[in-house]
Amino acid sequence: MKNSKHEEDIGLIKDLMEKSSKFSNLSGIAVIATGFLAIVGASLIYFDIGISISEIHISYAELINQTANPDSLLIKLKLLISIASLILLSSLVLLYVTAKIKSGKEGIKLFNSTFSRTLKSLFVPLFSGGVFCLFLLYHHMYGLVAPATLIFYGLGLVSASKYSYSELEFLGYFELVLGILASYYMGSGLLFWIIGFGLGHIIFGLFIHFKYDQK
Amino acid sequence: MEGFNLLNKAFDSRVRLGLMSILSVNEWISYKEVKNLLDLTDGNLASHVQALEKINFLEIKKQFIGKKPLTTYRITTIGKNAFKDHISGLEKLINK
Repeated sequence: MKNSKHEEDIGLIKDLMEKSSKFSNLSGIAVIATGFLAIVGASLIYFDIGISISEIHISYAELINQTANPDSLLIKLKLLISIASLILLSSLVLLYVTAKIKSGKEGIKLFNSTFSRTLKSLFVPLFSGGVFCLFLLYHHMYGLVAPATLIFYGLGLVSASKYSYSELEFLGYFELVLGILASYYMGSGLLFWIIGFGLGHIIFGLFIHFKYDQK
Repeated sequence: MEGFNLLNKAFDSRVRLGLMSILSVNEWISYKEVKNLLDLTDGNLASHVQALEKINFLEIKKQFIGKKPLTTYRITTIGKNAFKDHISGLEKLINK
């Protein structure tokens, strides 16, 4: 029978459709680096390692319980937001530049439809989550910010995984579970954050590196 | 045998079948990208592309980005329909 040839043909078609329509130009090393950035940033905030611009030391617990005086809380909060934004920005730049280099090497234009679909599905939840977090800050619900970032990021990853690495789905669920746990253990939000954004990215980065980049 | 009538001789070759698979889920896609996806060497791809262009299954666009030439391909409606028929032909034959 010629049946097996037909099956092989269908297999080849499916395989190539998937390979050519999924964004797969992340650099594993860069993902690992973003994990370390997250750990460094979160530790700075969590352990309050003498970089407070104001020399006022407020622990994360004091911040979310708002037990310190309001002025120093505000300063601490500004510091926290600056560090978080800095991490986010440098991570995005790092991922973008390395993806650009990687796609250049493979002769692929980074800005193709796959890439934009991935970005869109990731950033719709992420952006709404970001705005939501700003309102949490506005309403002084500091303790829920870390859990909320984890949850919205998880949702973004799950939806982006359709157009990119299918393994992103697992990372997404991981972040979601951590975010939900962190909402319950509110005082430990930053620790969950370190696990999710730090450890999660390092493991995922290693995985990408050895499974895809090494080929 | 039902199904065989839907198969297209143009897709007998694995390279052409692969090429059409890629084109069917993408907009304009570059020579280099296709070459990498199909794991081909230079020159191997060109003859297949020309054969498919001849029967109007794909269109070729040649342009310059700065000083570098860039060749891109896109599937035509005729090509898309032929490829769809071919796939349903394959599926019918498998599900017999």
